[in-house]
Amino acid sequence: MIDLLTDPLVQRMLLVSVMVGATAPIVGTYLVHRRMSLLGDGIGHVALAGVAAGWLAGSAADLAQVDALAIPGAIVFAVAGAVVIERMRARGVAAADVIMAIMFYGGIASGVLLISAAGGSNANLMGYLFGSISTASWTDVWVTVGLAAVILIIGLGLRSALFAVTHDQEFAYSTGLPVAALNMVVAVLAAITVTAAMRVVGVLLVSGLMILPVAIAQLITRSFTRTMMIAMVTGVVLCLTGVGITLFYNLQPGALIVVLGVIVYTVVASGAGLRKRRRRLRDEAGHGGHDDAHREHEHPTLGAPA
Amino acid sequence: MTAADADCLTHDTPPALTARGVRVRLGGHEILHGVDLDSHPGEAVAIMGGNGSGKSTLVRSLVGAIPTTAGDITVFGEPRTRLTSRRIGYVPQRASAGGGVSATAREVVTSGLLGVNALRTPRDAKARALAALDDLGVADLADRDVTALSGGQQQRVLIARALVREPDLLILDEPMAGVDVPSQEALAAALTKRRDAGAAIIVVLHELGALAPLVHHAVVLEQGCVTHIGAPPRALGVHALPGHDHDHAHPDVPEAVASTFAWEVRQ
Repeated sequence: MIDLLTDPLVQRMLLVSVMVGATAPIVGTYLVHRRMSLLGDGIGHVALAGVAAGWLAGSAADLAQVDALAIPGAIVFAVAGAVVIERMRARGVAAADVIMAIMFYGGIASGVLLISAAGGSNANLMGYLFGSISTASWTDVWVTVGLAAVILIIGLGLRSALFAVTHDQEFAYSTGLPVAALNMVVAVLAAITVTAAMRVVGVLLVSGLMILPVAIAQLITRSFTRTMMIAMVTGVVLCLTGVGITLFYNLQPGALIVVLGVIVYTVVASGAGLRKRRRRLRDEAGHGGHDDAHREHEHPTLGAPA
Repeated sequence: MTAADADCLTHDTPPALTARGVRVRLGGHEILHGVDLDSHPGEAVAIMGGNGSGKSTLVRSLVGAIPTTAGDITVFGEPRTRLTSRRIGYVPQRASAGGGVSATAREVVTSGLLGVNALRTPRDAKARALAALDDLGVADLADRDVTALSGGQQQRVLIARALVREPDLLILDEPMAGVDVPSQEALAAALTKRRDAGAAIIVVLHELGALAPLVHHAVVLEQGCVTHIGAPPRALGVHALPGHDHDHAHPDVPEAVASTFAWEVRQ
């Protein structure tokens, strides 16, 4: 065990896991709140086109390491894609799900075209599709540190304002908050998260790491801030557990992390359901359910999107 | 009070809000065709009218949530910008709020303390949010998930979010819709206190109800145009009955008659 922890490769894997596990749910919380859980997916597919474009540029420039520009390409494409999605959404050019579908298929198709133009094969894209944390270099670690720092500083620092904008945009406008700029911050943070997490779980599963910890936290607490904090801890635990298991068993870490998340969600959800039913039975027996009487009276209007 | 009294009132202080010739276009259709509105400190003006008359569109454009295509809006003598938002407290329709993650009443009210140059909440945010909830009699709900509250409780939370800003101009969109009677009375009391403290109030209403004593005059909209300014109109016939559903059609009243005479002006 100690031997394992002194292995630089294992150290790199664990470092990247902690950073990605902690930061992906920050943006995930805003996306779930805004009911745009699949934005990460849309951006991920665009990032894949960026990977291929970086690859193409690398081979055109005759670089020694042909994929040296893959991650920079992904960052540029993901941020540009996020900006385009947000502008189209804000201007009401098309419905959010239609914009997302265009990004999904446009991104993956151009990725495949660009990689073949670069003389590569679809197999070269596999590492980006499903993650390849075991090949992380120290450069990758430092890039991830930088991206994670940006997400932590902005995502947590502007938490109140980003909550206000994602919670009730109409009210946010009335307060004078820079609504359009804050919406753009959420989109760009999502792009940064996707490129940071791509290394661990891959673009196909990146949304899972952003959304699952939030879904789990939601079952435990009713506060927005606590949801975000619990989701961050859950993200770290999931990533460390998933990557840790793959040190002993030959499994795909990204897929394992996401499956672990689904299992935890199922267990916690059935536990929460059981608790709720028990409480209701107790209340019915004791007629003491004043609090829950309100809860039963839920008003779906407040939860509906504007 | 008669309409003549309302017209003869003079104002020593500058208006809280003036709108002149406001036009709004949404989805290719013009919704407001040049609306004028005046609101003065210490007065409450009701914006009334049937469904689809443009009431909500008007208040949304007043607070800057949707852009106007023409017209001028001034707030306390200055052209409306993000800067003038500091003095405005807005209560949107309940359906506009909420998201996929639950949030507590205190978190929602705290977001009212943000604004221009205030991207982070002040140090005393927690205490101020609690005090605002307490003013509306819902301090005990501070840590509860807002979506799990009753309609009346949710509305009190949204009004607390606007009042925590200590606004000089309060703009509310149908605050009484789906609200139980005790909450209606609590809301009316909170608004009256605010008005008596000198705030101007603009409130979109389907019917005057519990706010009747508060409302100074009314602006009636019909199909995006102002058709009446003056004393508050009294709802006609069945519309005045408590619990009447305004959304259903009246097969016994011809549509043209219903739209023309839905509002009987007390003159």
